[in-house]
Amino acid sequence: MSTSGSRLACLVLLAAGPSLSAQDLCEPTAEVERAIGEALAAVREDTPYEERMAPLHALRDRFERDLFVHLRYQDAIFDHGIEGHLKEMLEEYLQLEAKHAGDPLYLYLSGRAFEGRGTRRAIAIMEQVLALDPDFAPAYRTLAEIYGSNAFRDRRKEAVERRKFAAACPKSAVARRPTPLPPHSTFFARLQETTLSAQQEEAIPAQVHQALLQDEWRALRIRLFDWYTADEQQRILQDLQTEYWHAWRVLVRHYRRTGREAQADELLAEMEERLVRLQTSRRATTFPLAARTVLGLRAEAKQWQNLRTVLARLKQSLDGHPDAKRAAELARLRAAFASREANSRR
Amino acid sequence: MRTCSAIGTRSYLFALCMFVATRAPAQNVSSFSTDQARDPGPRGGAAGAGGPLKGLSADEINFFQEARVVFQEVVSVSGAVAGEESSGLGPTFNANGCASCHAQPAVGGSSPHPRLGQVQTVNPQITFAALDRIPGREQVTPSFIRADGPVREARFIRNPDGTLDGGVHGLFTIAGRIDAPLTCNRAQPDFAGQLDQNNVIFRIPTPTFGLGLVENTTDHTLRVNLASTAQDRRSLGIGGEFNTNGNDGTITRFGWKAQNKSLLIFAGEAYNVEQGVSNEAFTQERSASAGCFANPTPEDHSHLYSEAGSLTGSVTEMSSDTVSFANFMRLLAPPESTTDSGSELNGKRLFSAIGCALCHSPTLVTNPSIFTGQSGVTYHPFSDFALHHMGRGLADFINQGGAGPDQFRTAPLWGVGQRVFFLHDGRAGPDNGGLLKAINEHFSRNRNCGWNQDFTSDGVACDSEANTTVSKFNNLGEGDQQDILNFLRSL
Repeated sequence: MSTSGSRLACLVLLAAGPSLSAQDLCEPTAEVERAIGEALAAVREDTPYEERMAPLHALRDRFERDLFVHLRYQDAIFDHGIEGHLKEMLEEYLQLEAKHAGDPLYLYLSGRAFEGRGTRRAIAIMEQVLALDPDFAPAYRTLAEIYGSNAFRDRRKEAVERRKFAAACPKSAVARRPTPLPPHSTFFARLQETTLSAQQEEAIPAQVHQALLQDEWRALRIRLFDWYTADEQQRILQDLQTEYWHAWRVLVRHYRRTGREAQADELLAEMEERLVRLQTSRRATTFPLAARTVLGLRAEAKQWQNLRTVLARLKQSLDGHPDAKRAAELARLRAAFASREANSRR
Repeated sequence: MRTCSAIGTRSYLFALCMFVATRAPAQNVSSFSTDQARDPGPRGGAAGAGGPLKGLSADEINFFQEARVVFQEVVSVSGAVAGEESSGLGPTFNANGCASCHAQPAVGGSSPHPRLGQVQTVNPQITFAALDRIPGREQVTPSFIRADGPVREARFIRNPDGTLDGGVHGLFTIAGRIDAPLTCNRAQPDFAGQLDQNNVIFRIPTPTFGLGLVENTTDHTLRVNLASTAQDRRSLGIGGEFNTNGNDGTITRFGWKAQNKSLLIFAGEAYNVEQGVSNEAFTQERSASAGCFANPTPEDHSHLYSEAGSLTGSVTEMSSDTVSFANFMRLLAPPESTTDSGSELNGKRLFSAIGCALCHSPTLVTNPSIFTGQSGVTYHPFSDFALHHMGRGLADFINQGGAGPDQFRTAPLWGVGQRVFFLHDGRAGPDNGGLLKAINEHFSRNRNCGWNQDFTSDGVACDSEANTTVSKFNNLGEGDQQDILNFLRSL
């Protein structure tokens, strides 16, 4: 090594601070493991974000250079934060990386902050880390995770990185990424509207909102990360759009069963406006469901005149924004409901 | 009530009138007419606007229609709420769609009214406090938003530390919306407190009809047009200068203070400011609050894939919403006037004779255009697109580009016949005289100014450039005034 080269290496080592042993990079020490366990045990599933993060902030202050404390901190933000929190984390780790220039630990952590949302950048930084320190095992693990994900699947590269990681950390596992999404609400699938007790009936509006919140959260989660494929993102959004129509149908029926006709009519009128708007939207995939829902609710209450008005408005809208598929669906619905009306009058 | 016999500009004539001010600010003296002329109100019949430019090819008309659909889309936070399929709303917002506010007399216009005009719907802003909210987390509709009032955005003049603010403060936030992150607790601004401190000004939506023609007018044409009236303007105490872009020095021409260079910038700014949707022109979310930023940015962007998953598609399918908004405005025809009666034709003559047309320039011509039939088009915006000092009466104390606290772009009057609310803050409307009120609000004289003093220390002109012209209007007989109002309602 040239003199200037050795000087540079010394500077890098000085800047890097205390180095981590190979073992430190594979699994947390017992003390850290215990501390992390205690910190996470204090957090319930429904804990608000700021409260959830408080013990992890404290932990990071206590174990400033511990890889696994940082990983848990980052993972908590990945799992519970929204875009603003993710951006904050990224900025924080980019600053740390700048402050500890040349330290593979902080370079790795800044790269990991991109994982799943700026994944190509994360790959590039992992490669920089390994160029700086080929024994930095966590970088192999992160690369294996990335190449194992749906959006960045590369089985050959994944196998290579797994092998390298296993060689460095034989007892450690590579995580499956991305982590599973928060669960889908099962409320609408479980709901048996015909056999509700008075108490269950009363709880319906609150449960509907809870179910929607749960599924909104799924949609908010998935859109932040580039390692969910575009198809996955589209599917979850469509699921949620469907859920909204289910929710409003449940609420209209609930209002009717509990004698709140005015509220039912108000909500149904709003649904009609949304339906007419859907017809003009290039993105709306829920048009058939929405039309069935609105017309079905009018038919259930034998509001045939209202039903015909909706059909007329949709036809007018279709004339302005022609769509053969929707026109066919509407013709089918028109026939079905005409027959239903005829039957009800017999 | 105030009466006035004759008023001139401060530099040239002495004021000869007696004022008995009722509601005018202490330092501001406004002209007022005692005559019986009345604004006939928004013109009825079919909307004289809303369609594509005449002469476009079939493909271009189809392009326009696709872009209009995008202009009418409604935005939610996540894009999941039915009927609100665009995403990116908030963290703060004034509206959830372009067309809800740009509504009267047709898509692309200005504020609707529940009982007047072609659209007849309540101010959409009245619904946002409760729309898609979790029960119990509804927000408050600010006091200056009324069901039958104009759509408004609010700007604060100064920051709490006394420095200039001037930015838009969204009326609502996404906190408590069903589709917003639960971590978002951002509260609405304290509008009541700011109103108490006289720190709030308003702006209403500008109509977007015919703006493609304006965009395709050269700076040279605008400068020649302005220069052609220089002598007459000087004689009436009227100035006029263009707002320009700090980078390339060209004339900016869109917005109340002509602060925006192009329709794309105009659309991008409005999408971000009014709806909180970050986009390729305005890439950052506006209201910093980490717990409220739900979407990767920019939320509105060009599409690599069409909705069908293809790498190819129509321009509108592959473009960002912002680009489609600009395309819609670019191809949106100017309002059609109906000036034909004797009264309206006399009004048109008087409009020029008393000096209104010196700023509200009747005619401009477009440059060669990429669109079919749009080259060398003569159009009638009734604006010189220049800035004018309007004095303390209209001053909003907001600086934008080269526009100072009391400078406004001459508002184009095309389409004014079917508009409900007037002036930058919508202060003139059906409740207070409409157009007549708007005309008189152009007059402003600061009696605290000294002899030969043109501006006060805050950069506001002592006299409005329109003073002499407004005085001339008020010196007309009732019939002539009525003719001018009738003419304006025929535009």
